[in-house]
Amino acid sequence: MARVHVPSLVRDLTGGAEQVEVPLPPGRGATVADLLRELERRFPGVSERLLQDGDLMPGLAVFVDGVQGHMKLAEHLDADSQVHFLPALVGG
Amino acid sequence: MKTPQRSEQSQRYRVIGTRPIRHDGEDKVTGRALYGADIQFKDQLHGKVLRSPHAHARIVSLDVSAALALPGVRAVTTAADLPRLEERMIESGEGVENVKYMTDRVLASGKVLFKGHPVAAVAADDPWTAEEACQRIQVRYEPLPPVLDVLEAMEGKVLLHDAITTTSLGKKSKQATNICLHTQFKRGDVEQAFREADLVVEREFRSKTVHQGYIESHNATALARADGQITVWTSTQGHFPVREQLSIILKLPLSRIKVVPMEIGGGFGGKISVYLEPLAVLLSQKTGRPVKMTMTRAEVFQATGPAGASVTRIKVGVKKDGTLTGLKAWLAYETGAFPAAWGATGAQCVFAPYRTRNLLVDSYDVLMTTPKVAAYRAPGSPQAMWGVESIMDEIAQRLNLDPLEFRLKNAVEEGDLQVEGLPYPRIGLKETIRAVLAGDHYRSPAPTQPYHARGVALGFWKNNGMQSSALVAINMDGTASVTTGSPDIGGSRASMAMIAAETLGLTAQDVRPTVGDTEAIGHTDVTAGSRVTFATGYAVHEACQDALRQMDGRVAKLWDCQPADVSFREGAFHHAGGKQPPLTVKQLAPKLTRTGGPVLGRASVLLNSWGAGFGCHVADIAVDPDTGKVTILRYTAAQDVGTAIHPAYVEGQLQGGATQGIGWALNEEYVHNAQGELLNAGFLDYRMPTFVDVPDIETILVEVPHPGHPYGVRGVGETPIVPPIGTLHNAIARATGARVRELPMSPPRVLAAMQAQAQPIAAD
Repeated sequence: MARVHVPSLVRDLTGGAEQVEVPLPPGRGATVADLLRELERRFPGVSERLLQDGDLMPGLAVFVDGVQGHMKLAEHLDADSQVHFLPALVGG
Repeated sequence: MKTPQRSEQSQRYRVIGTRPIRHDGEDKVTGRALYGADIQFKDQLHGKVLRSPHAHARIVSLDVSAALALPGVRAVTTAADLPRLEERMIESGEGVENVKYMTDRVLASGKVLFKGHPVAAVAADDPWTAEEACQRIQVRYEPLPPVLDVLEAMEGKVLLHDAITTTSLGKKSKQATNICLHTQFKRGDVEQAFREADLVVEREFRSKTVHQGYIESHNATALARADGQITVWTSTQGHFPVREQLSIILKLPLSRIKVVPMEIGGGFGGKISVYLEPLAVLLSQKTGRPVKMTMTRAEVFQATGPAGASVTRIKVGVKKDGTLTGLKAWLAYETGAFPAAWGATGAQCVFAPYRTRNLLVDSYDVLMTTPKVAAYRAPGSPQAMWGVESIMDEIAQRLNLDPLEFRLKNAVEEGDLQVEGLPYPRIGLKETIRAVLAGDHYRSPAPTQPYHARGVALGFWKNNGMQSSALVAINMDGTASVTTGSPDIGGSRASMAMIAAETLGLTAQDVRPTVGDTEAIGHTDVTAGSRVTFATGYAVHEACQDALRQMDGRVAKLWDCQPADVSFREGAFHHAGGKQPPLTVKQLAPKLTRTGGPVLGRASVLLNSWGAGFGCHVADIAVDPDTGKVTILRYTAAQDVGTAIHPAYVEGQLQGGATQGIGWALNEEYVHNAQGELLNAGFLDYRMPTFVDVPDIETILVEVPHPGHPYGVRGVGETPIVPPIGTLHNAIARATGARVRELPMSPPRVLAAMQAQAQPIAAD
């Protein structure tokens, strides 16, 4: 099961759950987009909060197993991946 | 002069860890280096900006005819010349921006939102005529009340924008507001954690707006040719982001715009957004002549992006044995006149050094009638962390614990969770604290005289990966030329040359580093986020590897073997069977022509790893009991720097960052009158520290290599500005018994806090 660390901006939709487990096919066949579709099915409204124009909201980054996924929705996932949605940090 | 010893980490390398003379040093010290103000064309025009005299007002009418009628005036531009952009969020060089407000920031339309907001710009034959023309522009304003305080702005009695609502945890409010963003990080049950604590401390802290204070003011020269091609020469931390911003604001294809980065006289995050560049382009388009614009110091203070003021409320729960149980923060940050998100970055940093299962952080970015804030060295982190460090010090005092041992007990390490919930990769916080505990400064007796004391504090910033490009050309004499797209703001040319030299088996002086313009090198993101030595250095390493792979084939031709039989190690090519003597790049280079021609290594990278930089500072101070003036007697900055490529420049980053942090702590602040006018828009009244105010800052370089970089590099430039505020605040508290919870801790504030103390003052 992939584990999604639910960001605060959608936690009201998951009943306050900090983590949600999502079944994904074995191998690296599934993507972040697949994961979000499943989340949307279970927790309606998640996509509206996380997406803009069919992609991740600007300023929002996805981390898969601790590594930033620059392919965003197209990033591949393992069946047991850990997924975080976080604000991107820049700097001066 | 004593030669510093090489660190254990650097002894793995030939070039890395040494201290060669910087490649651009002679040009810098002789004045030959070309800055933006040095650009001169024989037919150039001079541009000046008409700025709003009001902090908040509606523009009733705008008439430029009298200005245009003035002899010598060639063009006037206003917001009417800018394309209107629909509301859309984009990722730009400085984070996320709403494109609608990018144009309004460059030239006001409808309303002016801070004193100094550009209303029009003029191009004339000379700067004096341009200034006079600005004065002839007729603008009728309907003044509106300013809002200059974060908490007042949050109340929303005075609204800046009708269309901005609060985006709170993904939801937009229905009504207009000045709170443009609410961010939250939460895990565990922080309220239960406070109930389980033996001691809970909650305090409020306030800081004022401060400016980066770079010496070189903003400048831009633009030439719009008849064929539509545009060239811009400017002082910037990122010429590719300048090109992107111009493309968006002016609705032009990227290929029509060339941006040439000039030498930069400081930026610290403040030279990422465009201010003059679009105006110079508009005026050049109207006249067909080059237009040069430079800001005065007052314009820099009044109209460019400083670091925002803040109000923070921090609450910490702890057991008697010093174990933290829960951490809670409420952060509110000034964003200025347009949305920004540095409060959100402060939220990511606020408790970064501390391990806890229970945490709640809420941050709010708040609009005010002041210039839009910009990045400033670890943006958002100093405002958030000094309050935490104050409370940690207070707890250590109340539990009678050594302040560093207390921090060490609760310090994060690899696998612990960051504020946002990601596990930390390999980090060196504990190593850094231990290095300070073992260092000469901390082991020496703390000052014991009255009004003297020692303070300590931690600081944190991440360094980013992002995109970088590099080219490495092998010259026929065995030297090399390295081109990158990262403006050199802190000695990165030397670092790039040293990384190339290390990888190719050359000396640092064999390598000539160059910063290429937007047509000379592939896309490269900003010189910011402590990312250049890390990410652009990574690209240079990869470009060298590309060149070495090409040279493997050339060596194979010379040795009449397969490329797979050739390997490069210890600075030379080797034959797998040992049938040939090793061959260096210098020996091979003259033979490149006959083996296939020039070798050009290239690389473009998008890095998905990042590094965390933790710092720990120590200060011994004396407070004048009659004036409240703080004198720093001794100061040490320690930091996990991964691998110090050029230790002298790394030490310089720690010293420079600490000095800016000292200024933020003790003296710097924007002072406005009730009408929103900045009263100290110059270096005489905006009090930055000088060499007189700061002792020789000692440094401790802790080297815990970054596992995601071939040479273990971590970004170092931003972290050192974070700890000084907490360090000095804690030292003042221990020297006087008074905790000054409002910045700057200037003599009047320190004196007032001391006088407010009921108890007699005693040394700690």
